[in-house]
Amino acid sequence: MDMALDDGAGVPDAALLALYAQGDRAAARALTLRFTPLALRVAARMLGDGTEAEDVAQEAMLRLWRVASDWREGEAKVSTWLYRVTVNLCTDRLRRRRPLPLDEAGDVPEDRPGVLSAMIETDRQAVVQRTVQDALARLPERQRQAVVLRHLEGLGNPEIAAVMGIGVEAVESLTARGKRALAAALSGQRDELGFDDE
Amino acid sequence: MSDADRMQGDGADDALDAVFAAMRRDAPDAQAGLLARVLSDAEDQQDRMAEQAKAAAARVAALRPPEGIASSSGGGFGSVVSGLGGWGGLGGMLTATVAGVWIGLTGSLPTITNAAYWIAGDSAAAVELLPGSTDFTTALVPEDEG
Repeated sequence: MDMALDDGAGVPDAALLALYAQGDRAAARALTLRFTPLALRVAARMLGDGTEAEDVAQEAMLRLWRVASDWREGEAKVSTWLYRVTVNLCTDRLRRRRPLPLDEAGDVPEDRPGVLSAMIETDRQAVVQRTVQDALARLPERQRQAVVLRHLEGLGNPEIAAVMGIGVEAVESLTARGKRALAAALSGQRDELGFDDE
Repeated sequence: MSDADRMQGDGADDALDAVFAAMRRDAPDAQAGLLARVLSDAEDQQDRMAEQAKAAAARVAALRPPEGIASSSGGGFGSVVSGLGGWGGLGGMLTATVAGVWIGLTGSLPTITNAAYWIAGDSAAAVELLPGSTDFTTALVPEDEG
């Protein structure tokens, strides 16, 4: 399929969505290119599973298409709305996958692919990223959302607050606690990862 | 300095920031297959919205009076009659007007009996269908049948 068309650069999100609702095929393509990567990134970080992340991204975009004709310009940013829908879809999946959320951020799970096998990987940075991704998966749900949105999506605290439906102070607290837990997990893995040997 | 090197440095916090930056760089790309599925959903939804809009327009059109009636009423008086609900509506309005004038002049409602005498004159007689009630249960019977 030819996806060579641009993502409508320069046209505001809400204007593109209005065009889409009027049946504009080019707007459909532009929105697809502009927002699918966003939904996919968040879902991949939240779920840690590429296939599930694609399903969530497609579902989130489908919800965007369905809401397009009722969209009221100025009420919310399209990206904020999509972040919220994606995060909620991920949360639903995580709850189905693991009915009881973990109470505390923990260490990297013991049954994850072993450190020794990870050491075989030639790209050491990939190992580090995997360690953080695994630790991210062990964070409590809300901390994980806040960390992904703040540190991996680069959103500001007010926008994260809007996505998560909480106050800015709560976002700051969740982000700080999440980051501390990740840093602790990462620090605990240094020796195992063998970085001190070089 | 690599992320791994940073992990040996000042602290895990700095290392974590470096890892975050690397994860942002290496974020998963939306593959063509996913984009195609999303776009297909988008176009299907557009088609559905177009069909719904067409169906809604058809329902609105069905509620309008037929073109022939609208055009036969013409302009001027015809459009006034049409605006009052057609000849049926105009007739109802005239009846209500006459009744109002009657009530205004006599100060009472005409009974069916009185009205019947007005209409039938001496050639009819009133018969009570339900004794004790005179307003709505009186029938006219032509004298030659009674």
